[in-house]
Amino acid sequence: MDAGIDKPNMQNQEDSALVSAFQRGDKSAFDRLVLKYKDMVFNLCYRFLGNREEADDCAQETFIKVYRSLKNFRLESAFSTWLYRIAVNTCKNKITSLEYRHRKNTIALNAERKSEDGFYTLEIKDGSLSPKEILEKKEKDMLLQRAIDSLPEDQKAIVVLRDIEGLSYGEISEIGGYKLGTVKSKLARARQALAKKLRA
Amino acid sequence: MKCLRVKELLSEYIDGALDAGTVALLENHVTTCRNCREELAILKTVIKDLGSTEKTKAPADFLQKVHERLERRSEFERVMRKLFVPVRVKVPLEVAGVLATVILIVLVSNNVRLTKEEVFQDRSAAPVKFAEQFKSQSKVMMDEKAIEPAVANETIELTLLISPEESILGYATIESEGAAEKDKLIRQDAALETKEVVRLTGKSEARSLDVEKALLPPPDLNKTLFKLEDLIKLTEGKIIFIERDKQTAAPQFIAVEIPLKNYAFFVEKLSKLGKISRFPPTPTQEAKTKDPVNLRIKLVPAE
Repeated sequence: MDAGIDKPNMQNQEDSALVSAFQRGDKSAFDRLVLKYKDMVFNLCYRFLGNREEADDCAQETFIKVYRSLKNFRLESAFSTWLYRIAVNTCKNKITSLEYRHRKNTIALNAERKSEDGFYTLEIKDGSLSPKEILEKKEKDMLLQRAIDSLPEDQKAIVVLRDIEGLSYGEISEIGGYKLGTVKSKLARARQALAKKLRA
Repeated sequence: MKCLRVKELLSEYIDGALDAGTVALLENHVTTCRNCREELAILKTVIKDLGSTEKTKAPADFLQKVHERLERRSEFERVMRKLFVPVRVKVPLEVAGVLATVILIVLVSNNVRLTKEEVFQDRSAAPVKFAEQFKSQSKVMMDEKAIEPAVANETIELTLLISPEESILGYATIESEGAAEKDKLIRQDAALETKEVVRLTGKSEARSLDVEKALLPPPDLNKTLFKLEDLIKLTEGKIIFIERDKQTAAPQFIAVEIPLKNYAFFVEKLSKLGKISRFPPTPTQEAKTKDPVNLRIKLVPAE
């Protein structure tokens, strides 16, 4: 039994309609898809990369790839699953890029960090929280993100897709090209690793 | 069911992905095993926290940027296609070379112009300002007197004593596995050496602390500075300058501005980075009328 959150059929139908419209020549359908999914893709990239600028770059790149391939997209699988797959692969490519690794190593070695990582631009708009509670929440978010950053790539992808994006095991398996058993075991290890780091 | 197996299955159990038989065995074990019960509670908390992280939003002009990127790519590809389409008319090699160079220059200068605009937009949109970061870099290695704040009597001065343990772990105890493991290994080695010393010398347990501390690396003030920078960002503060030792480049002083509303939180978290010389420092009446609060923090490795 795979307990997860299944994508509502209505959402799939809307996406299919937009994809079909694009394939018939309606370019504005692509814009509507971007507006619908930009926050989801951006959040995924941000949690994967831990940096707003990199997330912005990756998210844009994801939609460029979508634009290029959308006319050939077959509606056999859900558009959102396909979109997630492109986003995750784009993030993974970014991580393995020489430029990214050099930047990360340079920041680690430099005595002063020159670039902001954009963590603290998170807006927490909750009228019920006091200023101190908002800061505590931001701090918790920061610690969580640091812990996520330290995970190996696959574990990071799976735990972000499952526990932050709320996808099912089946969807994660399809997105990442993992076997179901692999999803379960890597997820377990990721969660244990996070628990250990956050408990230390 | 044994603890090791139970711990492997806890993740799937929380997700409701186990069959009824396995669930029954697991729950039976957890009822009687405190260790596994705690493990389960911790995992549930982590998953809950992950699920309640703030959802970051894409920038407001995201769609526009996607369009601009698409246009730039299309332009580049159009040019490349034209360059490599075979021509029926023979073009002298020199002319072809000059044309290719001109096209490249145009493309590069367009990219540079666009990149500058993007950077300008990014900087203007950046909500957390490091207003005088460039100034802090130029102040590296400068004389202390030259950078004394003009309104010293409204600046809270404090000293942060940093011990080796604090520089490794600090308040944000998320460290790479490497650092935490190294710390553990150092302590284990220290413990072994202590036993050896006690066996040889017959001296008391009190020695073990000295040996342990002696084996720890000296406090890394740069690590403390990184954590301090995180804290400053978190509290929407601003770094005014950082002063470093002329020879070692280790950070010695950091002057910051912290919004008054976040000052108490800042001090609370600062105290976890090291021992504060004067605690709790409160803003003077003059300083309180001015928001933000100015602080000048001296970083000192504890002996």
